[in-house]
Amino acid sequence: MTAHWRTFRASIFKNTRISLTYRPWLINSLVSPVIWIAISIFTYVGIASPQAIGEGFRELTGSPEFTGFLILGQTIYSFFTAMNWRGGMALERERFYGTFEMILLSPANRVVMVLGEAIWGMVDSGWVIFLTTLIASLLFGLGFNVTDPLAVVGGLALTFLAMISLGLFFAGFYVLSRSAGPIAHAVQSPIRFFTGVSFPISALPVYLQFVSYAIPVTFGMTVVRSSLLRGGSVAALSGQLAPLAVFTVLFFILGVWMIRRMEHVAKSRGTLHTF
Amino acid sequence: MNVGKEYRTFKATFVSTIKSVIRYYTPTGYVASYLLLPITMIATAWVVSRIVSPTGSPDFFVQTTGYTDYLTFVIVGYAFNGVMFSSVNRGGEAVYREQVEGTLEMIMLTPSSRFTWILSKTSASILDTVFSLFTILLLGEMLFGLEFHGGLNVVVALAGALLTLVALEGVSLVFVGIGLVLKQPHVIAVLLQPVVIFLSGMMFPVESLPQWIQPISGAIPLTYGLNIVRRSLLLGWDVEMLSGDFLVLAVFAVVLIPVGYYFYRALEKRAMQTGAIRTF
Repeated sequence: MTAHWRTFRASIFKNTRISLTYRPWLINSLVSPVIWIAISIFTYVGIASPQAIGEGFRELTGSPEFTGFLILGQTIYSFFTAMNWRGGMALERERFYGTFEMILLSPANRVVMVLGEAIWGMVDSGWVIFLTTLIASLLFGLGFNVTDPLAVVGGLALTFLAMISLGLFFAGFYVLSRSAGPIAHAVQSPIRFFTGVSFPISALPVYLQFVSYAIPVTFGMTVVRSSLLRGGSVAALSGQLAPLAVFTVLFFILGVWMIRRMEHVAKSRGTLHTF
Repeated sequence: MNVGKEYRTFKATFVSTIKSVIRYYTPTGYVASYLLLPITMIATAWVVSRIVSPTGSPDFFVQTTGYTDYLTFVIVGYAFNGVMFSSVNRGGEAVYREQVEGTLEMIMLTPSSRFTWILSKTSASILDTVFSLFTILLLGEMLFGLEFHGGLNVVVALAGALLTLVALEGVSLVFVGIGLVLKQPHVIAVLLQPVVIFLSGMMFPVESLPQWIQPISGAIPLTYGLNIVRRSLLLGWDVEMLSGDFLVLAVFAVVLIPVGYYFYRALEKRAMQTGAIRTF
């Protein structure tokens, strides 16, 4: 455990130094999500009247309120993209910097290392994302309706854990793909589409909704929106929380296997250091 | 100016950049970036339009813009997303890669013209952008029923797109310089992308923005480029009707390129004085 803690701590420390070195990223992290939220909202209000939008949302969700729906959708999606680039690209970054082989030669646990990167990504981006959500809420108006704080805290915590598991999975997958950058970039858009960042999932044809419910982020999105905007309780959201928990465990197991598979390929073929 | 030397510099850098771009995008990456990404972005617009209107083209949108179909409006807009992102990201990214690979100082010590070198880097990336643009338009036609006016209107649209790329070349030059000083130039590109999407009318009409923001949209070359391409392809406008937008783009091109190069040289000088050339 001491060795794992040292590996974990070293990952956190390294990323803290990098974050403090490239300070322009902080400005990006603060401003970019607010603008993406504005784009989400104006994609609706720029083409239709508020009444038409409200009617459309009422038909699909039971509530005409769409601003809070879009703000929270973008918030959870921002966490996903942070996880995708921090945790998912953790090992690929080491390849790029030429330190991948050193890491594979060290006794440090690779899974713990990636977890350190992923958790740091959540923490480092987390406070910024919460701040931007607050700003967007003030700019565009967001009324919370919380009746069960445990549903909010538990839902958020489980969503973050699911994303960390996803990051673990992506870390090994991206390296094995040999096309990490383009895939990491391209995977964001389908996730954005299928998880309902910009519209309720029920607006999709039924056969596409199956794809949505195969992605853990979808459940996280639903849980967060329901608990914060519609007073959802733990009991009422159990149908969403249970699959989220299952996905968390599943992707964690897959992620561990993927990283071990990546290391096996690296050592047996000797090609993973090449670009 | 030795034309032969400049041509050799341009050709060598152009070819190496093209090879680098092709190598970066493996077949999987090409499919993911050039097909999956635009399909899901356009599909999002399709779903949104169906939520607010059974026909997919809300009356509010038709009355505000004069366009009869929202989805085709978005398809053309999204096709230009790559144009904008390419202009602010590729130049800076290309220089950043030279820094990371440790070859930037060697390049700067050569007698090659800096302007030619940067121009060839960004021009090679423009090829990639044009490929992306046509792929999205083709996908729009095949999957989402994009219909547009053909014949001379296509020529007008192409002219508008190319002039926009030329105008944005100046912006690219500035970002190359910013990359030298601030490092990680894609930070600025990633920040600017949503700003330009929001202001240029890519996903929704500029007219729907608050009044005080609309003049800022007018300061972005992409806004005029999008206008030209949309109005020629979707409304059948000719050059005469779009002369105002062409003129503004031409002014942007004439002004932005020398201004951009001036800023690049100033930033390069600063980077040399502070010893920041080799750090990344």
